[in-house]
Amino acid sequence: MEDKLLVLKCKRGSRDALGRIYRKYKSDLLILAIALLNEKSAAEDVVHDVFVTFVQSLEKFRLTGSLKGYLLTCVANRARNTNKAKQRQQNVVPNPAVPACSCANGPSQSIICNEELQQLSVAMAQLPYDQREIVMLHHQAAMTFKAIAESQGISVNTAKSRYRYGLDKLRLILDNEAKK
Amino acid sequence: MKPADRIKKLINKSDVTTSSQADNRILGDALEHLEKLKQKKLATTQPNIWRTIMKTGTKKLAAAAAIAIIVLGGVTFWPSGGSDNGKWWLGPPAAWGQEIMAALDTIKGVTCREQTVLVMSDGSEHTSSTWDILYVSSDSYRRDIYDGDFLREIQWYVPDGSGTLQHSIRYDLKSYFTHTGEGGFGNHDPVERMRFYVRLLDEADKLLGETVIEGCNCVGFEISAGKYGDNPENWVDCIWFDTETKLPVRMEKHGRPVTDQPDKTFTTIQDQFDYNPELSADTFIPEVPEGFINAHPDEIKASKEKEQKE
Repeated sequence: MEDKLLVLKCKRGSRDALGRIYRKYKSDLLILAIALLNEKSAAEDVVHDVFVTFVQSLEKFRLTGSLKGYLLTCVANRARNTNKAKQRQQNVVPNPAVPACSCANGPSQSIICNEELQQLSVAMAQLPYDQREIVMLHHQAAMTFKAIAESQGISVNTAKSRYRYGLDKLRLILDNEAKK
Repeated sequence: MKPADRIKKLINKSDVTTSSQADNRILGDALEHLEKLKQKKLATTQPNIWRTIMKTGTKKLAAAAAIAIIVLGGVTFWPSGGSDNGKWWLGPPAAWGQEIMAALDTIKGVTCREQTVLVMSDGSEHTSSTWDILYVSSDSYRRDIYDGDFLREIQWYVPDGSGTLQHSIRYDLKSYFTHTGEGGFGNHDPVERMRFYVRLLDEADKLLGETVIEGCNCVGFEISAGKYGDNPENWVDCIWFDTETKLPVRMEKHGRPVTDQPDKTFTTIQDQFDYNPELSADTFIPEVPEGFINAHPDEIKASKEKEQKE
Protein backbone atom coordinates (compact mmCIF):
# COMPACT_ATOMS: atom_id res chain seq x y z
CA MET A 1 0.00 0.00 0.00
CA GLU A 2 2.91 2.31 0.57
CA ASP A 3 3.50 2.54 -3.18
CA LYS A 4 -0.03 3.75 -3.70
CA LEU A 5 0.58 6.53 -1.20
CA LEU A 6 3.92 7.39 -2.77
CA VAL A 7 2.27 7.67 -6.18
CA LEU A 8 -0.47 9.79 -4.70
CA LYS A 9 2.10 12.07 -3.11
CA CYS A 10 3.96 12.32 -6.40
CA LYS A 11 0.71 13.28 -8.09
CA ARG A 12 0.47 16.07 -5.55
CA GLY A 13 3.99 17.19 -6.40
CA SER A 14 5.96 15.67 -3.53
CA ARG A 15 9.66 15.64 -4.39
CA ASP A 16 10.35 13.48 -1.37
CA ALA A 17 7.94 10.79 -2.60
CA LEU A 18 9.53 10.73 -6.05
CA GLY A 19 12.94 10.42 -4.41
CA ARG A 20 11.68 7.51 -2.33
CA ILE A 21 10.31 5.71 -5.37
CA TYR A 22 13.61 6.22 -7.16
CA ARG A 23 15.69 4.95 -4.25
CA LYS A 24 13.35 2.01 -3.71
CA TYR A 25 13.43 0.70 -7.28
CA LYS A 26 16.51 2.09 -8.99
CA SER A 27 18.56 -1.08 -8.41
CA ASP A 28 15.87 -3.39 -9.79
CA LEU A 29 15.36 -1.19 -12.82
CA LEU A 30 19.05 -0.83 -13.54
CA ILE A 31 19.69 -4.55 -13.10
CA LEU A 32 16.97 -5.34 -15.63
CA ALA A 33 18.20 -2.70 -18.06
CA ILE A 34 21.81 -3.84 -17.75
CA ALA A 35 20.86 -7.50 -18.17
CA LEU A 36 18.83 -6.64 -21.26
CA LEU A 37 21.21 -4.19 -22.89
CA ASN A 38 24.56 -5.32 -21.54
CA GLU A 39 25.64 -1.72 -21.41
CA LYS A 40 25.66 0.55 -18.38
CA SER A 41 25.28 3.89 -20.12
CA ALA A 42 22.39 2.64 -22.27
CA ALA A 43 20.80 1.14 -19.14
CA GLU A 44 21.15 4.45 -17.33
CA ASP A 45 19.50 6.22 -20.28
CA VAL A 46 16.59 3.78 -20.23
CA VAL A 47 15.99 4.16 -16.48
CA HIS A 48 16.31 7.93 -16.85
CA ASP A 49 13.70 7.98 -19.61
CA VAL A 50 11.38 5.69 -17.66
CA PHE A 51 11.44 8.00 -14.62
CA VAL A 52 10.97 11.15 -16.65
CA THR A 53 8.07 9.61 -18.59
CA PHE A 54 6.57 8.31 -15.35
CA VAL A 55 6.52 11.85 -13.96
CA GLN A 56 5.19 13.31 -17.20
CA SER A 57 2.30 10.86 -17.18
CA LEU A 58 1.57 11.20 -13.45
CA GLU A 59 -1.58 13.26 -13.95
CA LYS A 60 -3.30 10.42 -15.78
CA PHE A 61 -1.45 7.58 -14.07
CA ARG A 62 -3.40 5.20 -11.90
CA LEU A 63 -1.68 2.37 -10.09
CA THR A 64 -3.68 -0.81 -10.55
CA GLY A 65 -1.00 -3.44 -9.87
CA SER A 66 2.46 -3.25 -8.38
CA LEU A 67 4.53 -0.15 -9.00
CA LYS A 68 7.67 -2.24 -9.31
CA GLY A 69 6.04 -4.41 -11.98
CA TYR A 70 4.85 -1.34 -13.85
CA LEU A 71 8.27 0.33 -13.82
CA LEU A 72 10.06 -2.90 -14.79
CA THR A 73 7.68 -3.34 -17.75
CA CYS A 74 8.42 0.24 -18.80
CA VAL A 75 12.14 -0.51 -18.61
CA ALA A 76 11.68 -3.68 -20.68
CA ASN A 77 9.68 -1.78 -23.32
CA ARG A 78 12.24 0.99 -23.55
CA ALA A 79 15.13 -1.45 -23.60
CA ARG A 80 13.43 -3.29 -26.48
CA ASN A 81 13.19 -0.04 -28.43
CA THR A 82 16.79 0.82 -27.64
CA ASN A 83 17.84 -2.61 -28.80
CA LYS A 84 15.88 -2.26 -32.05
CA ALA A 85 17.41 1.15 -32.70
CA LYS A 86 20.84 -0.26 -32.03
CA GLN A 87 20.21 -3.12 -34.45
CA ARG A 88 19.09 -0.68 -37.14
CA GLN A 89 22.24 1.37 -36.60
CA GLN A 90 24.42 -1.71 -36.84
CA ASN A 91 22.78 -2.60 -40.14
CA VAL A 92 23.76 0.78 -41.58
CA VAL A 93 27.08 1.50 -39.92
CA PRO A 94 29.79 -1.16 -39.77
CA ASN A 95 29.56 -2.79 -36.36
CA PRO A 96 32.02 -1.13 -33.98
CA ALA A 97 33.99 -3.36 -31.67
CA VAL A 98 31.43 -4.03 -28.93
CA PRO A 99 33.14 -5.08 -25.73
CA ALA A 100 32.24 -8.56 -24.57
CA CYS A 101 30.73 -7.08 -21.44
CA SER A 102 30.38 -3.34 -21.37
CA CYS A 103 28.75 -3.57 -17.96
CA ALA A 104 32.14 -4.44 -16.51
CA ASN A 105 33.34 -1.71 -14.23
CA GLY A 106 35.47 0.32 -16.57
CA PRO A 107 36.59 3.92 -16.26
CA SER A 108 32.99 5.17 -16.07
CA GLN A 109 32.00 4.69 -12.45
CA SER A 110 28.55 6.24 -12.54
CA ILE A 111 27.05 2.76 -12.15
CA ILE A 112 29.05 -0.02 -10.54
CA CYS A 113 27.89 -3.60 -11.07
CA ASN A 114 28.72 -6.31 -8.58
CA GLU A 115 30.28 -9.57 -9.69
CA GLU A 116 26.96 -11.40 -10.00
CA LEU A 117 25.46 -8.71 -12.20
CA GLN A 118 28.50 -8.78 -14.45
CA GLN A 119 28.18 -12.55 -14.68
CA LEU A 120 24.45 -12.26 -15.37
CA SER A 121 24.99 -9.63 -18.02
CA VAL A 122 27.68 -11.65 -19.81
CA ALA A 123 25.44 -14.71 -19.83
CA MET A 124 22.36 -12.78 -20.95
CA ALA A 125 24.28 -11.08 -23.76
CA GLN A 126 24.71 -14.49 -25.35
CA LEU A 127 20.96 -15.09 -25.55
CA PRO A 128 18.75 -13.78 -28.35
CA TYR A 129 17.07 -10.60 -27.13
CA ASP A 130 13.56 -12.11 -27.05
CA GLN A 131 14.66 -14.94 -24.78
CA ARG A 132 16.66 -12.58 -22.56
CA GLU A 133 13.66 -10.37 -22.00
CA ILE A 134 11.31 -13.21 -21.10
CA VAL A 135 13.77 -14.80 -18.67
CA MET A 136 14.36 -11.48 -16.92
CA LEU A 137 10.71 -10.42 -16.82
CA HIS A 138 9.65 -13.79 -15.49
CA HIS A 139 12.32 -13.99 -12.82
CA GLN A 140 12.95 -10.40 -11.85
CA ALA A 141 9.59 -8.77 -12.37
CA ALA A 142 7.76 -11.97 -11.35
CA MET A 143 5.55 -11.53 -14.42
CA THR A 144 3.40 -14.43 -15.56
CA PHE A 145 3.87 -15.82 -19.07
CA LYS A 146 0.40 -14.56 -19.88
CA ALA A 147 1.33 -10.98 -18.89
CA ILE A 148 4.64 -11.20 -20.75
CA ALA A 149 2.90 -12.58 -23.83
CA GLU A 150 0.37 -9.75 -23.73
CA SER A 151 3.05 -7.08 -23.33
CA GLN A 152 5.05 -8.47 -26.25
CA GLY A 153 2.11 -9.29 -28.49
CA ILE A 154 2.98 -13.00 -28.72
CA SER A 155 1.18 -16.16 -27.69
CA VAL A 156 1.63 -17.65 -24.23
CA ASN A 157 3.10 -20.80 -25.76
CA THR A 158 5.69 -18.77 -27.66
CA ALA A 159 6.61 -16.96 -24.46
CA LYS A 160 6.98 -20.27 -22.63
CA SER A 161 9.09 -21.88 -25.31
CA ARG A 162 11.34 -18.83 -25.60
CA TYR A 163 11.77 -18.98 -21.83
CA ARG A 164 12.66 -22.70 -21.96
CA TYR A 165 15.18 -22.20 -24.77
CA GLY A 166 16.66 -19.25 -22.94
CA LEU A 167 16.97 -21.17 -19.72
CA ASP A 168 18.62 -24.17 -21.42
CA LYS A 169 21.12 -21.92 -23.10
CA LEU A 170 21.83 -20.06 -19.88
CA ARG A 171 22.49 -23.35 -18.11
CA LEU A 172 25.11 -24.24 -20.72
CA ILE A 173 26.68 -20.80 -20.55
CA LEU A 174 26.88 -20.81 -16.77
CA ASP A 175 28.24 -24.40 -16.75
CA ASN A 176 30.95 -23.39 -19.20
CA GLU A 177 31.76 -20.36 -17.09
CA ALA A 178 32.03 -22.55 -14.00
CA LYS A 179 34.39 -24.95 -15.81
CA LYS A 180 36.69 -22.07 -16.73
CA MET B 1 20.26 -26.85 -8.69
CA LYS B 2 17.61 -26.31 -11.39
CA PRO B 3 18.60 -23.76 -14.08
CA ALA B 4 15.60 -21.62 -13.13
CA ASP B 5 16.70 -21.53 -9.47
CA ARG B 6 20.23 -20.82 -10.54
CA ILE B 7 19.27 -17.83 -12.65
CA LYS B 8 16.94 -16.61 -9.94
CA LYS B 9 19.76 -16.77 -7.41
CA LEU B 10 22.03 -14.87 -9.77
CA ILE B 11 19.40 -12.17 -10.28
CA ASN B 12 18.76 -11.93 -6.54
CA LYS B 13 22.43 -11.51 -5.83
CA SER B 14 22.90 -8.96 -8.59
CA ASP B 15 23.36 -5.43 -7.41
CA VAL B 16 24.33 -2.01 -8.68
CA THR B 17 25.75 1.01 -6.97
CA THR B 18 24.93 4.35 -8.53
CA SER B 19 27.13 7.40 -8.21
CA SER B 20 25.64 10.69 -7.12
CA GLN B 21 26.24 11.81 -10.71
CA ALA B 22 23.92 9.11 -12.06
CA ASP B 23 21.36 9.75 -9.32
CA ASN B 24 21.42 13.47 -10.02
CA ARG B 25 20.93 12.89 -13.70
CA ILE B 26 18.03 10.45 -13.42
CA LEU B 27 16.28 11.83 -10.37
CA GLY B 28 17.25 15.44 -11.09
CA ASP B 29 15.55 15.39 -14.49
CA ALA B 30 12.51 13.59 -13.08
CA LEU B 31 12.23 16.20 -10.30
CA GLU B 32 12.54 18.96 -12.85
CA HIS B 33 9.56 17.51 -14.71
CA LEU B 34 7.69 17.16 -11.43
CA GLU B 35 8.21 20.89 -10.83
CA LYS B 36 6.86 21.62 -14.31
CA LEU B 37 3.85 19.47 -13.55
CA LYS B 38 3.31 21.39 -10.30
CA GLN B 39 3.57 24.72 -12.10
CA LYS B 40 1.08 23.52 -14.69
CA LYS B 41 -1.28 22.43 -11.96
CA LEU B 42 -0.84 25.71 -10.12
CA ALA B 43 -1.74 27.61 -13.25
CA THR B 44 -5.01 25.75 -13.51
CA THR B 45 -5.88 25.59 -9.80
CA GLN B 46 -4.31 28.77 -8.45
CA PRO B 47 -6.56 29.14 -5.40
CA ASN B 48 -5.55 25.75 -4.07
CA ILE B 49 -2.07 26.87 -2.98
CA TRP B 50 -2.42 27.11 0.69
CA ARG B 51 -0.18 27.85 3.59
CA THR B 52 -0.63 26.17 6.90
CA ILE B 53 -2.29 28.30 9.45
CA MET B 54 -3.32 25.65 11.88
CA LYS B 55 -0.74 22.91 11.95
CA THR B 56 -0.98 21.25 15.34
CA GLY B 57 -2.39 21.67 18.78
CA THR B 58 -5.05 23.67 20.41
CA LYS B 59 -2.71 26.55 21.20
CA LYS B 60 -2.68 27.47 17.55
CA LEU B 61 -6.44 27.39 17.32
CA ALA B 62 -6.71 30.74 19.00
CA ALA B 63 -4.32 32.19 16.46
CA ALA B 64 -6.27 30.55 13.65
CA ALA B 65 -9.51 31.92 14.99
CA ALA B 66 -7.96 35.37 15.24
CA ILE B 67 -6.80 35.13 11.64
CA ALA B 68 -10.21 33.91 10.61
CA ILE B 69 -11.78 36.95 12.22
CA ILE B 70 -9.36 39.26 10.44
CA VAL B 71 -9.99 37.50 7.14
CA LEU B 72 -13.71 37.43 7.57
CA GLY B 73 -13.74 41.02 8.76
CA GLY B 74 -11.86 42.07 5.69
CA VAL B 75 -14.04 40.33 3.14
CA THR B 76 -17.34 41.81 2.17
CA PHE B 77 -19.34 39.88 -0.35
CA TRP B 78 -22.28 42.21 -0.32
CA PRO B 79 -21.36 45.64 -1.61
CA SER B 80 -25.05 46.46 -2.00
CA GLY B 81 -25.47 46.45 1.77
CA GLY B 82 -28.97 44.98 2.06
CA SER B 83 -32.11 46.46 3.49
CA ASP B 84 -32.48 50.10 4.54
CA ASN B 85 -31.77 49.54 8.22
CA GLY B 86 -28.76 47.35 7.37
CA LYS B 87 -30.56 44.26 8.68
CA TRP B 88 -30.45 42.34 5.45
CA TRP B 89 -31.68 39.17 7.13
CA LEU B 90 -35.06 40.78 7.66
CA GLY B 91 -35.52 40.89 3.88
CA PRO B 92 -36.74 37.88 1.87
CA PRO B 93 -34.31 34.93 2.26
CA ALA B 94 -34.79 34.07 -1.42
CA ALA B 95 -32.85 37.22 -2.31
CA TRP B 96 -30.00 37.22 0.20
CA GLY B 97 -29.90 33.41 0.22
CA GLN B 98 -28.97 33.53 -3.42
CA GLU B 99 -26.18 35.95 -2.67
CA ILE B 100 -24.85 33.62 0.03
CA MET B 101 -25.00 30.69 -2.36
CA ALA B 102 -23.04 32.65 -4.95
CA ALA B 103 -20.44 33.52 -2.31
CA LEU B 104 -20.20 29.88 -1.23
CA ASP B 105 -19.61 28.90 -4.85
CA THR B 106 -16.45 30.99 -4.88
CA ILE B 107 -15.01 29.26 -1.82
CA LYS B 108 -12.11 26.99 -2.66
CA GLY B 109 -11.52 25.67 0.82
CA VAL B 110 -12.51 25.88 4.44
CA THR B 111 -11.11 24.91 7.80
CA CYS B 112 -13.24 24.68 10.90
CA ARG B 113 -13.53 23.07 14.31
CA GLU B 114 -16.11 20.44 15.16
CA GLN B 115 -17.12 19.65 18.71
CA THR B 116 -19.66 17.35 20.30
CA VAL B 117 -21.63 18.27 23.40
CA LEU B 118 -23.44 15.63 25.44
CA VAL B 119 -26.72 16.90 26.88
CA MET B 120 -27.81 15.07 30.05
CA SER B 121 -31.39 14.41 31.12
CA ASP B 122 -31.22 17.36 33.57
CA GLY B 123 -30.17 19.67 30.74
CA SER B 124 -26.55 19.95 31.86
CA GLU B 125 -23.99 19.86 29.09
CA HIS B 126 -20.61 18.15 28.85
CA THR B 127 -18.33 19.02 25.96
CA SER B 128 -16.51 15.97 24.70
CA SER B 129 -12.74 15.99 25.11
CA THR B 130 -12.57 14.73 21.54
CA TRP B 131 -12.84 17.39 18.89
CA ASP B 132 -11.85 17.78 15.25
CA ILE B 133 -10.35 20.22 12.86
CA LEU B 134 -11.73 19.78 9.37
CA TYR B 135 -9.85 20.82 6.26
CA VAL B 136 -11.93 20.86 3.12
CA SER B 137 -10.87 21.73 -0.41
CA SER B 138 -12.72 21.35 -3.68
CA ASP B 139 -11.77 17.70 -4.01
CA SER B 140 -10.22 16.56 -0.72
CA TYR B 141 -11.09 16.32 2.92
CA ARG B 142 -9.00 15.94 6.04
CA ARG B 143 -10.09 15.46 9.60
CA ASP B 144 -7.66 15.90 12.50
CA ILE B 145 -9.11 14.31 15.62
CA TYR B 146 -7.85 15.56 18.96
CA ASP B 147 -8.34 14.16 22.41
CA GLY B 148 -7.77 17.24 24.54
CA ASP B 149 -4.43 18.59 23.36
CA PHE B 150 -3.34 15.25 21.92
CA LEU B 151 -3.65 14.75 18.18
CA ARG B 152 -5.02 11.20 18.18
CA GLU B 153 -5.83 10.59 14.55
CA ILE B 154 -5.75 12.09 11.08
CA GLN B 155 -8.11 10.96 8.35
CA TRP B 156 -7.71 11.86 4.71
CA TYR B 157 -10.25 11.46 1.92
CA VAL B 158 -8.58 12.16 -1.38
CA PRO B 159 -9.65 11.38 -4.95
CA ASP B 160 -8.24 8.18 -6.38
CA GLY B 161 -9.53 7.43 -9.85
CA SER B 162 -13.28 7.02 -9.70
CA GLY B 163 -13.27 6.42 -5.94
CA THR B 164 -11.86 8.03 -2.82
CA LEU B 165 -8.72 6.95 -1.06
CA GLN B 166 -9.45 6.86 2.65
CA HIS B 167 -6.33 6.87 4.73
CA SER B 168 -6.02 7.28 8.47
CA ILE B 169 -3.14 7.32 10.90
CA ARG B 170 -3.60 6.68 14.61
CA TYR B 171 -0.97 8.30 16.80
CA ASP B 172 -2.28 6.52 19.89
CA LEU B 173 -1.98 3.09 18.25
CA LYS B 174 1.00 3.96 16.05
CA SER B 175 -0.82 2.49 13.08
CA TYR B 176 -2.20 3.40 9.71
CA PHE B 177 -4.95 1.99 7.54
CA THR B 178 -5.84 2.69 3.92
CA HIS B 179 -8.58 1.64 1.59
CA THR B 180 -10.23 2.97 -1.54
CA GLY B 181 -13.95 3.46 -1.29
CA GLU B 182 -16.70 4.48 -3.63
CA GLY B 183 -17.92 8.05 -3.95
CA GLY B 184 -16.63 11.25 -2.43
CA PHE B 185 -16.68 13.01 0.92
CA GLY B 186 -19.87 15.02 0.38
CA ASN B 187 -21.38 14.21 3.78
CA HIS B 188 -18.39 15.68 5.55
CA ASP B 189 -18.27 18.88 3.56
CA PRO B 190 -19.30 21.85 5.73
CA VAL B 191 -19.70 24.09 2.70
CA GLU B 192 -22.19 21.62 1.29
CA ARG B 193 -24.00 21.73 4.61
CA MET B 194 -24.07 25.52 4.52
CA ARG B 195 -25.64 25.40 1.07
CA PHE B 196 -28.18 22.91 2.35
CA TYR B 197 -29.24 25.21 5.22
CA VAL B 198 -29.31 28.32 3.06
CA ARG B 199 -31.68 26.55 0.68
CA LEU B 200 -33.92 25.79 3.69
CA LEU B 201 -33.91 29.31 5.14
CA ASP B 202 -37.28 30.05 3.58
CA GLU B 203 -38.64 27.45 5.95
CA ALA B 204 -36.69 28.55 9.04
CA ASP B 205 -38.70 28.11 12.24
CA LYS B 206 -37.14 30.85 14.26
CA LEU B 207 -35.00 33.94 13.89
CA LEU B 208 -32.59 33.63 16.80
CA GLY B 209 -31.67 37.29 16.73
CA GLU B 210 -28.25 38.86 16.98
CA THR B 211 -25.33 37.83 19.15
CA VAL B 212 -21.56 38.07 19.13
CA ILE B 213 -19.69 34.90 18.10
CA GLU B 214 -15.91 34.83 17.82
CA GLY B 215 -15.91 38.61 18.00
CA CYS B 216 -18.33 39.05 15.10
CA ASN B 217 -21.88 40.28 15.21
CA CYS B 218 -23.98 37.37 14.02
CA VAL B 219 -27.56 36.56 13.24
CA GLY B 220 -28.97 33.07 13.71
CA PHE B 221 -31.74 30.95 12.27
CA GLU B 222 -33.28 27.80 13.65
CA ILE B 223 -34.59 25.06 11.36
CA SER B 224 -36.22 21.87 12.49
CA ALA B 225 -34.58 18.77 11.05
CA GLY B 226 -38.12 17.58 10.41
CA LYS B 227 -38.05 19.95 7.41
CA TYR B 228 -35.77 17.50 5.66
CA GLY B 229 -35.73 13.71 5.58
CA ASP B 230 -37.70 11.64 8.06
CA ASN B 231 -36.27 13.38 11.08
CA PRO B 232 -38.28 14.11 14.22
CA GLU B 233 -39.32 17.71 14.85
CA ASN B 234 -37.26 17.93 18.05
CA TRP B 235 -34.04 17.63 16.14
CA VAL B 236 -33.11 21.24 15.68
CA ASP B 237 -30.39 22.79 13.53
CA CYS B 238 -29.05 26.33 13.79
CA ILE B 239 -26.91 28.40 11.48
CA TRP B 240 -25.33 31.72 12.38
CA PHE B 241 -24.18 34.26 9.81
CA ASP B 242 -21.74 37.12 10.20
CA THR B 243 -23.93 40.20 9.72
CA GLU B 244 -21.12 41.97 7.90
CA THR B 245 -19.78 39.31 5.53
CA LYS B 246 -22.97 37.22 5.55
CA LEU B 247 -20.83 34.07 5.67
CA PRO B 248 -21.74 31.31 8.16
CA VAL B 249 -19.72 31.38 11.38
CA ARG B 250 -21.34 28.56 13.29
CA MET B 251 -23.59 25.56 12.62
CA GLU B 252 -25.25 23.44 15.26
CA LYS B 253 -27.21 20.19 15.26
CA HIS B 254 -29.20 19.71 18.47
CA GLY B 255 -31.12 16.83 19.99
CA ARG B 256 -29.49 13.88 18.24
CA PRO B 257 -29.94 10.59 20.11
CA VAL B 258 -27.08 8.86 21.91
CA THR B 259 -26.88 5.14 21.17
CA ASP B 260 -28.13 3.02 24.12
CA GLN B 261 -28.62 6.13 26.30
CA PRO B 262 -32.19 7.31 25.62
CA ASP B 263 -32.08 9.96 28.34
CA LYS B 264 -29.23 11.82 26.66
CA THR B 265 -28.81 13.68 23.40
CA PHE B 266 -25.85 15.21 21.71
CA THR B 267 -25.19 18.43 19.88
CA THR B 268 -22.61 18.86 17.11
CA ILE B 269 -21.10 22.29 16.68
CA GLN B 270 -18.98 23.50 13.80
CA ASP B 271 -17.32 26.86 14.34
CA GLN B 272 -14.06 28.80 13.89
CA PHE B 273 -14.56 28.80 10.13
CA ASP B 274 -11.71 30.06 8.04
CA TYR B 275 -12.62 30.64 4.40
CA ASN B 276 -10.03 30.21 1.67
CA PRO B 277 -7.18 29.73 4.13
CA GLU B 278 -3.70 29.31 2.77
CA LEU B 279 -2.59 25.82 3.65
CA SER B 280 0.64 24.03 2.86
CA ALA B 281 0.56 21.96 -0.31
CA ASP B 282 0.94 18.74 1.70
CA THR B 283 -2.19 19.27 3.85
CA PHE B 284 -4.12 16.77 1.76
CA ILE B 285 -1.25 14.36 1.16
CA PRO B 286 -1.65 11.27 3.34
CA GLU B 287 1.34 10.44 5.51
CA VAL B 288 2.69 7.30 7.13
CA PRO B 289 4.92 8.23 10.06
CA GLU B 290 8.10 6.20 10.48
CA GLY B 291 7.57 2.96 12.36
CA PHE B 292 3.74 2.93 12.17
CA ILE B 293 2.22 -0.46 11.39
CA ASN B 294 -0.38 -1.13 8.72
CA ALA B 295 -3.46 -2.49 10.50
CA HIS B 296 -7.06 -1.61 11.15
CA PRO B 297 -7.51 0.02 14.60
CA ASP B 298 -10.04 -2.68 15.56
CA GLU B 299 -7.48 -5.42 14.89
CA ILE B 300 -4.92 -3.68 17.08
CA LYS B 301 -7.41 -3.13 19.88
CA ALA B 302 -8.53 -6.78 19.68
CA SER B 303 -4.98 -8.04 19.80
CA LYS B 304 -4.21 -5.76 22.79
CA GLU B 305 -7.28 -7.03 24.61
CA LYS B 306 -6.23 -10.60 23.89
CA GLU B 307 -2.74 -9.88 25.23
CA GLN B 308 -4.21 -8.38 28.41
CA LYS B 309 -6.43 -11.43 28.98
CA GLU B 310 -3.45 -13.73 28.58
